[in-house]
Amino acid sequence: MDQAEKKMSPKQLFLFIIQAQIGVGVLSIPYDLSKTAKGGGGISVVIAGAITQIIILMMWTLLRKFPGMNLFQICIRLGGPVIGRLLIACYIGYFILLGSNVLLNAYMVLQRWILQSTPKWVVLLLFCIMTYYLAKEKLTVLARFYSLSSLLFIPLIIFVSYGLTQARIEYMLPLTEAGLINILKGTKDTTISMYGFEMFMIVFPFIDASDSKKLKMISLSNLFVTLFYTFVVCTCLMVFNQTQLAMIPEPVIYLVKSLNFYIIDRADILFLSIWSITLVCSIASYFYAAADGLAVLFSKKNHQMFDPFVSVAFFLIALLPTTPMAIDRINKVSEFAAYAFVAVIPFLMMLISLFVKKKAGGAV
Amino acid sequence: MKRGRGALCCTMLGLSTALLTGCWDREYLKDLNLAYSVGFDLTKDHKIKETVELIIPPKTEQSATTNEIHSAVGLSTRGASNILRARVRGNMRVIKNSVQLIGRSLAEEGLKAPMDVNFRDPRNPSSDVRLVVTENDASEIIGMKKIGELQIGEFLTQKIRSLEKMSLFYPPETVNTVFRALTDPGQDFVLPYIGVQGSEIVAKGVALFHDQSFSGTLGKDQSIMLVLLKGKSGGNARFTKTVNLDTSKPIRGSISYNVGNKKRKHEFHVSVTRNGDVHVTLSLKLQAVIEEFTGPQLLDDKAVKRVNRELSSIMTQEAREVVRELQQANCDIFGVGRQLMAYHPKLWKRIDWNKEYRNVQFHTQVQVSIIDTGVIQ
Repeated sequence: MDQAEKKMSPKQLFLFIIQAQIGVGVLSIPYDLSKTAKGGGGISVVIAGAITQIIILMMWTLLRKFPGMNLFQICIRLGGPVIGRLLIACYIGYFILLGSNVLLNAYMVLQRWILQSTPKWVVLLLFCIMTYYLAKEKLTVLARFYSLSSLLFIPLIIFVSYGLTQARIEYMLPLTEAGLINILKGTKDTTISMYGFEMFMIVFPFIDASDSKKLKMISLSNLFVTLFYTFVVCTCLMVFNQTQLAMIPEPVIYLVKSLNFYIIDRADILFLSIWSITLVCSIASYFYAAADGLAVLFSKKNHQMFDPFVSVAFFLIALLPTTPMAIDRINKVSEFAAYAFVAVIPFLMMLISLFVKKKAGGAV
Repeated sequence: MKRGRGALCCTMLGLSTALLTGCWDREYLKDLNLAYSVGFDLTKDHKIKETVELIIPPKTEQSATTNEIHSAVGLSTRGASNILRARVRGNMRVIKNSVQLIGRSLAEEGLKAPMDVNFRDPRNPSSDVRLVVTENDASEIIGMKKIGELQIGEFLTQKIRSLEKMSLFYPPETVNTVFRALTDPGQDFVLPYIGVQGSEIVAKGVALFHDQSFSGTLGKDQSIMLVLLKGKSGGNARFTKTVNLDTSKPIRGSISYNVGNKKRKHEFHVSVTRNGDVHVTLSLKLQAVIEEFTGPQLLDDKAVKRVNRELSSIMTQEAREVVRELQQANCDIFGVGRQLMAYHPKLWKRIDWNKEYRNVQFHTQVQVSIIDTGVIQ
């Protein structure tokens, strides 16, 4: 693409993927896991990280076959103008769905904890303006902003670590209380917080590094995210007992609220304010991916003209569901969409690419 | 093009000033009535009576704040608060609340229901709010309005804090820790227990809880012992005992010592025998600083040895008494059940902990050694 006069550095890639991956999901994974994996929640997260790593390897094998191309261009190359464009359209739909899902969940958390009387449309609008402003820029601008906001992980980690002062290891034991099958089932519940790394397929050609270096960086960021999640999950499992976890949908925030910092009584407000920046990064990634997809779909050089449409789509999709059931449904749909678009379709594309390469080689 | 951009800029600026100020979620301090202390009681017809102490800001800058006491009866905690809100002017908020009193009658009924709103509403502070059980009605204590120069809420907060430093109650039981213990089948909790004597508010010790209801009390010395048995100390832990220094002649002296500010060795171990009996080893090694000794003789090496032996035996007896009373009240304060859940899950599934806790065999041992006698022997 022409807009990539300047490329991302490998370090920026590392932070970019982390920011895209860590979103609203982590606030509630200990809760989701407590239903299935119980004390073994940490193990579930590690397994989910390993599966993510396998998918990353698979994507990498696909992407390195087509140097200088990202997901959308590969779609066209492999599927031809019609099927390829159809596939791109599906991917755009997927990115919009996931982005607005993160947006919706972010709003839900903020509404429950801080902004109780602020109308929904205002919060969503503010998020949309922010992400629009960010995502309309070039990728390097996004990367720089993400790197800068990565500094905010430090206070977040400190907040959560402070919870360790109240931890009791007995709450987590016995680790395999739920049984191995349930721990594996728990892996499924962490999916919602794992996705985000598929941004890798969009930014791959815009990184200033060799293919193996790129793989190394993204594996590192996956490692970081997995460790971070494991840490958060284990802390929550040690601070709350199972009965409590079953009652608290956002244990991470509850944990921060229950800490006594002497000067500040409600640290959760601080925590969430900082967290919102991370959420904006997550949403902006999907925003960028969707807009970039639109640009390829209509063979335009840059995506700026599509940004307002994406913004409006995000806003409307997040605005529509109001009942908890509808929100649950949109979460479910996103989860299954993620399986399809992150794992299944790239896998099929990889298979086809192996096949096509041989054929092409035979023809030449 | 340029004009369009300027217009856009202006609209954005206008929008952001209109939207970013947080017009909805704001509260002015001047509109609020801050409740410093709150008390809950159970009325005869099983409703909740809520009593609050509201702080009224001073009219002029020099004068002090005053307080008002209001109470209301409702079906639930929030229900009573809503009725209260209708009575006081403006909006009553508990954001500065630091102590909640619970009448004994309500504590006997169970804490889960009346405390629910504390856990559920994120605006209720929970990390630093002490829960206290009162011997009679909580409204009686809050109704005292002022103790000396201090307003009741401030007085109670300071009193609890200072008693925590004296290891009467430690670690502090806040709304959060109680929430955790309430939901945990393998862990119970104790709360400070206060009462009224004449015109004074007196700490009576601690109130023991089983599951969610009040099930017994411990006296003051026993409360300190309990804190030590938990392996904790709030800074000071003082006892005064009478010891006999000579077997042949009755030379008695009372001795005051502090075991809270030196290193302690605490051992807590749960083991299960093959036939499913639960044994708990609870041993404590304390280092004492003598603060007062009224006996006729010097505390030389020989006397110190003897005092050590005497004190160890007295303290062991007292510790065993504390454990016996805890078992009687079915209060699993040490979290023996939690240990069983974690390390002996098969046994835990088999037994009914509510019954079995009384059969747990505690092996309690306290050893005291004097390491300091002050500046005189």
